[in-house]
Amino acid sequence: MKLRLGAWARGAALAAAMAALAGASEAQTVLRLVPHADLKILDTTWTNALITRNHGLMVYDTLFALDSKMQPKPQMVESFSTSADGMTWTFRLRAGQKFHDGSPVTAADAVQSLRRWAARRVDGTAMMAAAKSLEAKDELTFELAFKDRFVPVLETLANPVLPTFVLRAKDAMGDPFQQQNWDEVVGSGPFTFDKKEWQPGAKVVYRKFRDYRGRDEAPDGFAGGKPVHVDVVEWRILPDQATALQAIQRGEVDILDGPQVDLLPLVAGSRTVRVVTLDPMGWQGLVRPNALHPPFDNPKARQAIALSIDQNATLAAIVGDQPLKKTCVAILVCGSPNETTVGAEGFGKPDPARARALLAEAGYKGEPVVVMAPTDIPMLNAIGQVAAQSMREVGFNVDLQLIDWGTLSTRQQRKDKPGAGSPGWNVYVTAAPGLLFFNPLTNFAMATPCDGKNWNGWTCDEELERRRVAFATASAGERKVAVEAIQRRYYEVMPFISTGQHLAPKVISNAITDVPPGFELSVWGLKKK
Amino acid sequence: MTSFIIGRLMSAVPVLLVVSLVVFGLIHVSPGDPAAIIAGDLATPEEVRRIREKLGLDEPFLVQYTRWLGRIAAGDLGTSIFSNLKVATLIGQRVGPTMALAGTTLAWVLIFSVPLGILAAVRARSWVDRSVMALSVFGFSVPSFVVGYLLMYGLAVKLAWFPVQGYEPLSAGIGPFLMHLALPSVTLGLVYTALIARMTRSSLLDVLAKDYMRTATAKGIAPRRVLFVHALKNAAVPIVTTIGMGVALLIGGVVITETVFGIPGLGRLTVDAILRRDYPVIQGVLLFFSFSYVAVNLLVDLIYLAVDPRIRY
Repeated sequence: MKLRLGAWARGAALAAAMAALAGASEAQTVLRLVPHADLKILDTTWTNALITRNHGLMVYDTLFALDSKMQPKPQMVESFSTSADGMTWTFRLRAGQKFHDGSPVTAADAVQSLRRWAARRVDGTAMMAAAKSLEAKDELTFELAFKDRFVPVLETLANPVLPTFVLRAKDAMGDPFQQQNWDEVVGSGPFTFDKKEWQPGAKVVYRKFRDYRGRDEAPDGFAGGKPVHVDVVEWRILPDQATALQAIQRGEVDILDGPQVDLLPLVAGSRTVRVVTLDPMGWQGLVRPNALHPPFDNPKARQAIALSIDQNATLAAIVGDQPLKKTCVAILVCGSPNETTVGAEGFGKPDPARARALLAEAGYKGEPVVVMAPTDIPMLNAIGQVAAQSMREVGFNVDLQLIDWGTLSTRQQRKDKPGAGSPGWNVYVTAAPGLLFFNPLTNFAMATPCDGKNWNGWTCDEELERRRVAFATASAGERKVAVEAIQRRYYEVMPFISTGQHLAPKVISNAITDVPPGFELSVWGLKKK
Repeated sequence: MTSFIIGRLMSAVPVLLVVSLVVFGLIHVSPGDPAAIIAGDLATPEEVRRIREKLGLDEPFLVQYTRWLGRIAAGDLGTSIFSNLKVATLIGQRVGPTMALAGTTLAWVLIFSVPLGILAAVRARSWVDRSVMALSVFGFSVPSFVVGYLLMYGLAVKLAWFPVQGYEPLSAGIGPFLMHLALPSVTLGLVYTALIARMTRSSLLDVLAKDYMRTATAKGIAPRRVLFVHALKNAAVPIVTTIGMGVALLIGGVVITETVFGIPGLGRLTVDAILRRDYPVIQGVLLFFSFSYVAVNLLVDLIYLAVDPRIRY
């Protein structure tokens, strides 16, 4: 009997041990993140949506990347060199990098990816317009040769907002002007994309890529190593911000990547989460006038808007009394290497008397001015409402039209003259990340060519455009002068009006540690307890 | 009976056709261009035009509608113009949570609301009746998202009895499944409970006042049998009608409840699709909902046959 009992006991113990081992090997660390938007489009070249960029950062790697000090650093590139005249750049990729399907990353993949990317990016287009050739030299080496001087090669290749993701050459062959629909998303980044688990509007799943060959460095901004300490990253789409805040406090999710800023006081003093600001430049709000039609075909009327806007009040409407505001006259973003106050004299504070005088000089007679603001994006709704009221106070006859972003996106493309029954408009509001706007080459709002093909609003000023494009040929020592020249002309032309910058913190569970420094929250490097 | 069912299903076809035409027309005349939304606000008009052409959105309305009908007839609900996933796949991903939410809501509502209504009728004009009616007024008056937030704050955040958000399928275990659906289904079902309780009460009161009820009591039939066998059966038709109509309330209410509690259901899919003008998804989902209503109405009609032998089709 004892023997039988002993045998049973040993058997039970063995079974329990095997179960524990099986459990341990199956247990996975899952990081649950609530992104700032829903991932709808997977083609990182096709769209400029930041959420698709974030998706790209998970599954792809880039040739270069900005570190936390905004310096471009090699990422997939092992080494690079330039010819003595600076017109030929040679890049060598790190050996051993693999795509998720096991195939090696080659120079041909980099070249094709770069071609596709450049076709859709303002800075990439400028770079390739100055280039005479881009070709793979061998398995790991490619060369970019210029016919015209183009200085910011590394900054362009390290574009942080619309990065140079490297795809397999066959995936990058597709028309850059058509959205690609690959059966599987194959990159060489630290995570693989589980397309079967993807539920648009609900969930996105990434799994650790165990054959990822990263740099042997600490993570630093978008650059450096990308050590992954979690097995699975789940993006949970939670449209209700209040619910998301409650969920993170209960430990049901780990990170809120884009919490609504005015709700952050609800988690102040929480023992389970912390509010972290990573990006010191934040977002820049914009008022974009339509320069095709009166009154904003006259720069004085555009300047009048600038002198009506109270940046403090506008930012307070977004962030309340939290210390997340940054009033700023530097049009290339405060906190960036291109920050300057030159040319901004007389601006930055509301001056209603001068605004009214400028309006009168512009010949404004009180015609209705259609201002569009979205109802479904709280930040832009706040900017629109405050801007509209500020404009009324200096004499604009504002017709504020609050519509959903989908409708606004459609109308902003229309060049019709505003009026009763017309889809035309005079002003709309939007915002852009400081990381995009600090560089004149990527600041699409600053582009003012007179071919009518620039960004909606269509301000035309060849001089500003000349100065903006000249930034591409300015050496490091000449950039300060180039930036000052741009800003001086900007304040004379006013293609858009900044409503100030606000910071956009993340909410992170205290179970998450080792968050790497940088402008965006990277999931590599961090650990989950 | 079979011919009745077949006849009803066949008559659903023109209903669905009319619904599809109305929905197709409405979304195409409403402002907003999916091509512009896809292209983003940096796109040039040329890029937007190219997308519109590729998606066939530049074709005349009737051509687009006919092409879509043809695909439906072949069993193809189309493809999302944003994610490029099949609409049928998207519906398949999201129908489970919505059906689970609607099903659990219906279950507890029927379990509670009918007895509450019976109690209120039997104790008419007493404090019991007034309490049930007060609860009913509360259920009608308070918006579901307010109820949702209050329940979330009290029971999920402060007491931590339930999760704040999310959905677990039945395959994850009956416990997690019910725990995640508890608060959302109470939120969704409150107005439904109010409606059915009131209808049960008034319908039963009406029947209890009839002469044949007095006759049954005079004949010495036990009060319980009078109530449950004779009165309730005669009062059932309006109650069943209300339950059937209430399915519409449920489907409409899931949008808010799914958003508040982060449930990845059809309601959210519909709202997301409308906001970004994902025409194929809007059309596919609304067609699915319409067919569901037709099916529910048919079921209600069949239940009539069971509860009232006077009804014959």
